[in-house]
Amino acid sequence: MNLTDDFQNLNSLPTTKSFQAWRSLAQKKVTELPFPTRKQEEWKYTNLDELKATSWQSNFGTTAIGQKDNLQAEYSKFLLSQFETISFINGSYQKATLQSLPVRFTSELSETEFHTYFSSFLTEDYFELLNRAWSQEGLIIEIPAGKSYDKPLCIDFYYSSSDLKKEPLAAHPRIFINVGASANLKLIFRTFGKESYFNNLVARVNLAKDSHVEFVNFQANFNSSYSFTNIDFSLAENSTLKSFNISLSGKLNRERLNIRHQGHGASSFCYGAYLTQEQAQSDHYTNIEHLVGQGKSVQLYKGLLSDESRAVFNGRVFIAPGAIKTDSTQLNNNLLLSSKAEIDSKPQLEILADDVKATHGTTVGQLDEEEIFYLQSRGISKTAAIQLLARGFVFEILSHVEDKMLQTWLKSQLAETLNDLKISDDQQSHSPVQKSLEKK
Amino acid sequence: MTMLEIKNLHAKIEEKEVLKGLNFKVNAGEVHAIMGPNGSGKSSFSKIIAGHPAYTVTAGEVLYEINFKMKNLLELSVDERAKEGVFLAMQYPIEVPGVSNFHFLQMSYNAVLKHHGSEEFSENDFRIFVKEKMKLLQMREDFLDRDVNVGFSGGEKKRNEILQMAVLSPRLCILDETDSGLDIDSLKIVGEGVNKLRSKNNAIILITHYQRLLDFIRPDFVHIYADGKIQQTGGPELALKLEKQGYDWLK
Ligand SMILES: Nc1ncnc2c1ncn2[C@@H]1O[C@H](COP(=O)(O)OP(=O)(O)OP(=O)(O)O)[C@@H](O)[C@H]1O
Ligand SMILES: [Mg+2]
Repeated sequence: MNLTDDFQNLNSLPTTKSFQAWRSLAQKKVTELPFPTRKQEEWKYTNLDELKATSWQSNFGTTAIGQKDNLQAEYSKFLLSQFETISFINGSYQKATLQSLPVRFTSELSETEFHTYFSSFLTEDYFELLNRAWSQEGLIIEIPAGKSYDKPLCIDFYYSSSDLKKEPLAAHPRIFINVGASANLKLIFRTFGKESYFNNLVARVNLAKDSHVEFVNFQANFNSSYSFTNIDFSLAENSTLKSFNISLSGKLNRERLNIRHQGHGASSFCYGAYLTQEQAQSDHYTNIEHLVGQGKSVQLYKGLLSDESRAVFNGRVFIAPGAIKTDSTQLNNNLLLSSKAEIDSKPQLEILADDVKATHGTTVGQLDEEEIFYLQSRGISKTAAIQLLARGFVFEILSHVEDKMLQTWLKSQLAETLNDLKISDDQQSHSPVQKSLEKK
Repeated sequence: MTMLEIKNLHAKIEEKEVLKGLNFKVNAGEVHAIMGPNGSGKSSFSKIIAGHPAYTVTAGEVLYEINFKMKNLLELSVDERAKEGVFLAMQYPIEVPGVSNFHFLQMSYNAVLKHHGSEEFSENDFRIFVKEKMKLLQMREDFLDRDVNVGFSGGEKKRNEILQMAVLSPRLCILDETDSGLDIDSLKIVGEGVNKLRSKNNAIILITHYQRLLDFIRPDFVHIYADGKIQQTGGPELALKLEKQGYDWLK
């Protein structure tokens, strides 16, 4: 079935009246909207025809109970016991006892509570609407004011074939997190699977005054899968967000990152590392809105593209009228390891205030031949030299991860991908004239 | 025993001829100094020996002794040459951001060990080993944790080159203007360091503009290099003559 068919079965499941109303608004709208195409600015460089043409199976009705242990064994190399873990299997939340976290569900909410989390406002974003149209149960996490969690909270999305019928599965998980004043949270999203799937996640995170969040979105997907993360951060006064998007594999990984600086003095640091291979694509849309002044935003996205892979970086920075003394930087650096790889990088600055600092830059280049020669002249093979340089290039992103354990884990994950890097012929055989060192 | 023999070598870079019939022979245990005007092709010569891909050899041959046989050096890749003991201390050492000096040195050393069938060094063993070598060159240990040459001063980069040489103990060492950029004390330290590495089994080629390095490392031969080849060869006295008279008398 296609992505907007058959809401009736879903709607026949018991749920609260307000939830039903909230959902059907989106169902109506998403049915009316045309499916996104490359004619739209946001999707100019990303082809969704195949996603549209695929016949997807909805996740409700699938039973995944009792599978968690099997799956965890299968993916044990990704697991760290030092993480507090919440799992979604095939899009369904697995009830688990968490040592310390206050977790709730949308079905438990009273009418008044419901409206604090679920706004009736309809976005124009197709995939967010689609998520809402298919919503079943949302996960709500309330981090109390002043609370500080040392253990990273890890939310895992597993997709497992044993549970599926013939068609690949599409799931639309939704997560709300309120981080209380002066609270401290380390949050990780990870998606895993060994079959085609479409993970269409929506998350909302509110950072109250003086709170601090370190967030990692780790995307190591099965190579024929789609994984979309639509995440919204709202930043109150003096709160700090550090966001890392690590995209290692998957047919199409899409990050839509909205950050609203709503309180004075809030800071957001957004980092991204995408290592695309074969025909994979990694698509990043960032939208940083400085609604008030004295804020700081930093964006640094680095891409390493091999084979025929592609990446998109679409970075919007908006500085509202009156948001004075805003300091914003955006940088997107790319290394192409093959002449068939493609990067489309598009910064978009909309500055409507005076007395602000806003910079942006994009670089696209190949590995520096002089650096390769230097390493080789010390006995390091060309392949090892290229891997070493590629590693140096992307590890800069990880150097910003505050949690040391998390940093070590990410390094080991990236190292694995880097060790498998195939060095294409055009980076192998350098002709002296082709000095494409576009270093700025 | 002959270590390196270059016969009638011609080479170009981007259509510019840089070597124009170079002949040169080096025996194990010898120290050769090469002096010559700016732009005459000295660095080009050294990079061609190391295997820099930007140069194309158009005629002539380069023979290098490997296991008592003279082999065609030009057939070996850059890293194979290094593993067989060819080392070039560069005039302008390259900065390699994102790669730590320690990791680089360890990888390099282990690649050479592996090539010769020896067991690779663990991180700990290598750290002990490299610290010993750093003492020789009076280098601070924190240079190990920094990215290769990134933010190093000119002199520090040069010293880092000699550290690599000390670690790898190559058989054929080409030092391209290692002395320029070094202050008087550093020159002495580097000179003494190089002298300690000097043995009857290896050979050193010093490319330099000044006599001062030769005060520390006394050469067996001095060559005057101009217009892509060696024009004249003599003993240490030739360097003194150049110091006084420059290159004008050659014409
Ligand atoms: N990529 C290049 N393209 C064109 N010409 C080049 C290139 N690299 C070097 N050359 C030229 O080759 C010639 C030899 O340069 P080389 O660096 O070998 O000289 P050198 O003898 O080492 O000089 P110095 O004493 O100044 O270090 C110079 O004229 C230089 O401009
Ligand atoms: Mg030179």
